[in-house]
Amino acid sequence: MTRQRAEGLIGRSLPRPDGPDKVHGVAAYPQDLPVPPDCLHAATVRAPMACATLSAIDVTPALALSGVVRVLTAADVRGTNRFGLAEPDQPVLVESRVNGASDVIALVLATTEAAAREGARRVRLALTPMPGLFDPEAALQDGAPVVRPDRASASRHPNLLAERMVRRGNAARAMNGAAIVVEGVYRTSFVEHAFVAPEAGLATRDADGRLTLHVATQWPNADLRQAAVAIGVPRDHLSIVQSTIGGAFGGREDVSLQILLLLAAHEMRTPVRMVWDRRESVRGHGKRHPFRVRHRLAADARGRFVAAEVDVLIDVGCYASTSQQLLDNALAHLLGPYAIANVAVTGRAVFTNNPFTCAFRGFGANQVAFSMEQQVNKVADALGLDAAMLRRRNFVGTQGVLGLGSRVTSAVGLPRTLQVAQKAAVAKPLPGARGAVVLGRGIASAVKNIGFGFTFDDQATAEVTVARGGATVRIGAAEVGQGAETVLLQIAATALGLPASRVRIEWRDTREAPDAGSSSASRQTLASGNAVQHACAAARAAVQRAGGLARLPAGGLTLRRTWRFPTTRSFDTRPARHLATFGWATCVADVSVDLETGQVEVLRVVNAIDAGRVINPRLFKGQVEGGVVMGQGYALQERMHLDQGMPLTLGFESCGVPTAMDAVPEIESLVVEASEALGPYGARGIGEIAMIPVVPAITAAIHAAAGVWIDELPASPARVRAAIDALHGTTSAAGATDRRKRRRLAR
Amino acid sequence: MTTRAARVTLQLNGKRVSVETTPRATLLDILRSDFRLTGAKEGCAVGECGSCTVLVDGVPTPGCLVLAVEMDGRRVTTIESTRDARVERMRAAFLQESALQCGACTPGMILAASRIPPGASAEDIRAALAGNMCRCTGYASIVRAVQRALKPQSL
Repeated sequence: MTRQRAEGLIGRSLPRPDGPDKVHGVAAYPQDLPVPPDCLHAATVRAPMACATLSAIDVTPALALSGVVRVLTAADVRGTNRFGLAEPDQPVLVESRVNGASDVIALVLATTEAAAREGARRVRLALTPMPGLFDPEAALQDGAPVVRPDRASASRHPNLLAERMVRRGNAARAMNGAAIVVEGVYRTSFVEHAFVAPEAGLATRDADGRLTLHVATQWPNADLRQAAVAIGVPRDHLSIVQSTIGGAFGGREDVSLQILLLLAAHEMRTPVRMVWDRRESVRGHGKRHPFRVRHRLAADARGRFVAAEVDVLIDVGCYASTSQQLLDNALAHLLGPYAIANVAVTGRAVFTNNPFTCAFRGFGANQVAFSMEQQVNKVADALGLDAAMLRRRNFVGTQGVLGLGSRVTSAVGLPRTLQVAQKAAVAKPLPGARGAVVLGRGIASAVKNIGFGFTFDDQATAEVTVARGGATVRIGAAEVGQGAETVLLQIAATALGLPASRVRIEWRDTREAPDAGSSSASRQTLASGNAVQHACAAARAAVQRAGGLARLPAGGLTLRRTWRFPTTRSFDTRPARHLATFGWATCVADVSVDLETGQVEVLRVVNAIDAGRVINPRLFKGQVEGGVVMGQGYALQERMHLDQGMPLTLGFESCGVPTAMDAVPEIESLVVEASEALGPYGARGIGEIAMIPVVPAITAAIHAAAGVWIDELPASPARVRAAIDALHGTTSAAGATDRRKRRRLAR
Repeated sequence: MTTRAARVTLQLNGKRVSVETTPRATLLDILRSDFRLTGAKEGCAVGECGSCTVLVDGVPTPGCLVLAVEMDGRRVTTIESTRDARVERMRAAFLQESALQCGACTPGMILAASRIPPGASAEDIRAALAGNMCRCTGYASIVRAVQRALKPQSL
């Protein structure tokens, strides 16, 4: 294996500093914080439909209830009443129009939680339901109702959030000269993050009017930036103290209840607490984007990809969030980790009245990895080529360019991931078929960016104080369970030359810990890792100049360093460095398919990740295993069901979240370490890449087992069974029934 | 709606305690509100996720599915207790295997796992934990932690 030599604590499985509190049940999630004596409890009022006009709110029945002290509506919001991560297009409280399931119309404040909830039920809303749009294709038709008349649109259709056309080379000509053109249409669904702890928070206000919010979030400074404008409070009057987070996966990058709590504490001059239940959590945050991808991939007789024509349609739902950025990211990853010279691509992100969509582990790379890898496997199948060899023939190299023009600038350990994944896979042959249960093995590779890219000024700042007793590193990198605190501790201790026991990472309080950006885009190991390494290396040098720790002044010395990603270019410029760097992976999945029921079981997954450098092997393994099972859920069973834009699947089981019984019992997580030029100690970040190749590896395995391509996620038993029936014709379906009957008779 | 008060007396983490509650309050409600034991979490309130799991007379039980009044005279153990040898072994194994990430499922997971009998196969372990959702780990490290704790003289 291409493991690198250990240096300090790098490459060692240091125990998580948050472990002991978590196993004793004393880690404080926002719902666990002590409730101050004068605290008010908040509950939201929402519409029972996704699309409506609001003409009046009658709060008197709520105020008549004992314990209810106030009902806040849009009229009470002194700021812009708008927020949104990339574009402020979401109302804190609805003024006149309900656009989707997440909208909040009023906030009831009461002396008890029960009174707040009962008060919320009693608020009377004068709502006129409107015909919503729930299908992105319908939303793009001429004369379709405008989903967001409140929003100025510069696009050619008012329901288009964004549109991209990308042309490289001459796709039409290259298609004509190709040995084979494979066509497919791929569809994916809304998916729920299903983090275990629902949203909760506690806002307090001090005598000077300064507000402090205790909340679990992925990006505290973005929450505060949006809140300040939305409620009209100076930014420096707002701070967040991050509670322990109960999972995130992208679903806590957007604001959920943060601004509502700050608004209420500001207005009421008291502490305000709100806890969402599971149903409200599912309604209240964004979802993974459904994609429809029409894909034509052309190859020559040797399997070299010569051209691709692709049309991508993304359902944005009702608010912009980061969907424009996600469209660019999806397109950058559209043709996978391969070099293809001739490309004609259209990508559109379309508003509907479905739930708004947001970041979710992979940020658009998962959906296009599914479509591209299916296409690659279909080309291999059609040409009779080995799917691994076909990939190797087309892999992008270091200094290469991805299909839509994104330049790769650092090491590519991708061929090595393929090599080690294959080796591990073949070491264990597939078991034989049993009756109607057939087995198959599938392979897929993937690429995922690290850092936001596309011109975003992406950075992280760390401050270190070294004193005689040890060092404190302050950096506002949200620990979202992934292990950022542990990784940064290992980097800090190594750079300082101190044992981990003498170094502390302080990340929770935005007043103390400098901005480290978002815990997303697999970026904290790289960005915050670099900031910490640079600050700590500088501090170590300063300590040496001072003559050692013992000779430092009483308060020690404090240093601050900011690390910035290299400049990235807009997607308008091609080819160019759109994304700072990439991680790579290859996955092999073994599945069984029951030809009679369509039930797919994943028996074993081998997932090889080019991590640049692994800081903590045990955390690495945890990320890979978690990513594999999340990928398995996405491939086979997870899906949001909607009715006119309203989520029907409001719990774990109905959303299809895998249990311990569903989860693949055997996961081999392999590491390749092609040192990352940008990374601290060569490390890169692997939170997302671990999931991405899993889905197409599973669908490839389904094909290997049952001979059917499942082009729509999830590959549910009904879908797989229907595809098997279609493959064999109706007689075979009858045959399967006959077989079943015969077996029953034989018993 | 009239809510009559009800008094419940139980053994909580080895101590006899008594609380005035309502007929509709769940065990989870009184643990979190009256006794300020917040290790058990409300993840779903309908018994799907298991993050509120506690031991009732030694049996893993979702605290959201049982009423507080049913606990009269019962023995309840929460994750905050450090008096149960099997829970301690499981806790140590979860740390050693790093079988947690966000940690929201961890209290319920440890308590549910603590009652898995020695000799359980990996499949048995998964079946026993099927009512405890974890979205972070993919369960693999959790199964390893349980196997470690169940090994004779493993710690």
